[in-house]
Amino acid sequence: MHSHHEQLTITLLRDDPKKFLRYCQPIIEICVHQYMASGMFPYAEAKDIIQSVNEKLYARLGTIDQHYTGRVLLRTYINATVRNICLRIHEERNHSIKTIQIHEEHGIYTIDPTNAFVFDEELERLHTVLQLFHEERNKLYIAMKLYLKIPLRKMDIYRWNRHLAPAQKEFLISLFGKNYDEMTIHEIFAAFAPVWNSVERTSSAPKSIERWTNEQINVVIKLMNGNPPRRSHSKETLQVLLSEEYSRHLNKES
Amino acid sequence: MNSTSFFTDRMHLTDEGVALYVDALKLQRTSDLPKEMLKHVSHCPDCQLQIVEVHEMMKNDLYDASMKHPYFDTVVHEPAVRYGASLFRIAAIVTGAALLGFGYYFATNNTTVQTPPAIVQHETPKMDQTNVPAKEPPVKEQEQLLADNFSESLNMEDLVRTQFRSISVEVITPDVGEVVQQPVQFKWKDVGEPLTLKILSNKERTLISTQVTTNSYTAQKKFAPGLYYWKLETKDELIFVGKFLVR
Repeated sequence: MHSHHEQLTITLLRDDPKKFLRYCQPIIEICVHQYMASGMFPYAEAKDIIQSVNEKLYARLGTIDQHYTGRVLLRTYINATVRNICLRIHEERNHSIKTIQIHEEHGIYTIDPTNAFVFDEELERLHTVLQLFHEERNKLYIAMKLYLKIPLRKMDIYRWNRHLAPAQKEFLISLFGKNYDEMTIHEIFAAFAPVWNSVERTSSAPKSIERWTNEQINVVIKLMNGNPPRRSHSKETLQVLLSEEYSRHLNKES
Repeated sequence: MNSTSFFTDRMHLTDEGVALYVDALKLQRTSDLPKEMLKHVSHCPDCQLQIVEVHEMMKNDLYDASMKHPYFDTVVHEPAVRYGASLFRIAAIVTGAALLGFGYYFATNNTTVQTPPAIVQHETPKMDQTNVPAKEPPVKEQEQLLADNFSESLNMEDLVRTQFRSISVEVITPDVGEVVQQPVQFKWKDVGEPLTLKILSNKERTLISTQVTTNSYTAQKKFAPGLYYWKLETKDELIFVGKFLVR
């Protein structure tokens, strides 16, 4: 797959579109199977769908040639294009074929806390999702941990604000650096709000920080699950993930 | 849709924009992404989802971090001011100014000499031979410099066409692309929160950044002829980008 990717060039697209399309097959298959796993396409129609994607992609090669400016890797661009084609096919099928039954639970898997491999993948996904929040990711991460009652690490605080006053750092670690399960969410955010306001230079009420965190967690969960959903993440699974991550850090540090 | 844009007319990332973000995630170079793209994505669940999905499709795809990326390794995004480069620029300006002055001196002499007809007859041929060729390069240089001041920034043009979603602001003046009189006045309908107004050169250099609590601002700075962009930002996000011209 990797070697084919390297051969995906705009010159090949122009000179030999059929060969180019052949090299796109792994991308198409991954995308179609990903959507089959989520129940968007029935498994029984894999070949037909792959064929449709190929036809549409072939028809779009001219447009790709026109629009691709060479500022991104072509293989990534083709991935984005193939994904859009799959979504388009899904939309068309939804409008024209009403007989396909797609079960909501189809293909969605629940996180198994004993499966280390799944954990690694999901943690990586969580951190990819968090990166999309750019400047807010570190503050979201810390607020999310508080909302889900996961102990904070010094590094979390440092990443959020490396210039935080020692007294505030000490305060956060002494209160939230250990298990604080007995505190209610309101109590947690009431204690956290003054530090938040000083770092973020706001004067937000604890309740509004809590509400913001809750909203952001819901966005994170939606992104983690995908659309259509292929996972069944919830606040609970997120809590399990972050808790496991915390334990791993502890193990590394000890 | 402009093919050079990372944003669609509907204010979301194009396929290319999504691909660029995915490239950045794979290569761990998100900090090299255009700032406006980072800002947009951080507040746009639709674009976030697209990126996550394409990233997921490519999760087993290995990227060679040593390979040169067509955007991150070739485009000069926001060049830091380099001492060497500045010196070169200063030297170029000084030389240009000297040449212009030189040209102007002779041109002025030419005019004064032309006034008495008797001398004109005597002097003109000499002037034509010596001054005209010497005068041409600085004028061209000046025209080039002026033209540079009016060239569009692709990044900023993307944003001028983008409508920002969460908070909309109605700008009263200047209209996008308006030729303005100085001092330049900015007016918009109140959005109920303090804003930061930024004025940037066509090279995306911030010339003015000021907090405004009212719904207008008058720039005291005198702008040289050129194309300028201006932005309105709340504490959390960019809500408007416009442009104006000074002749």
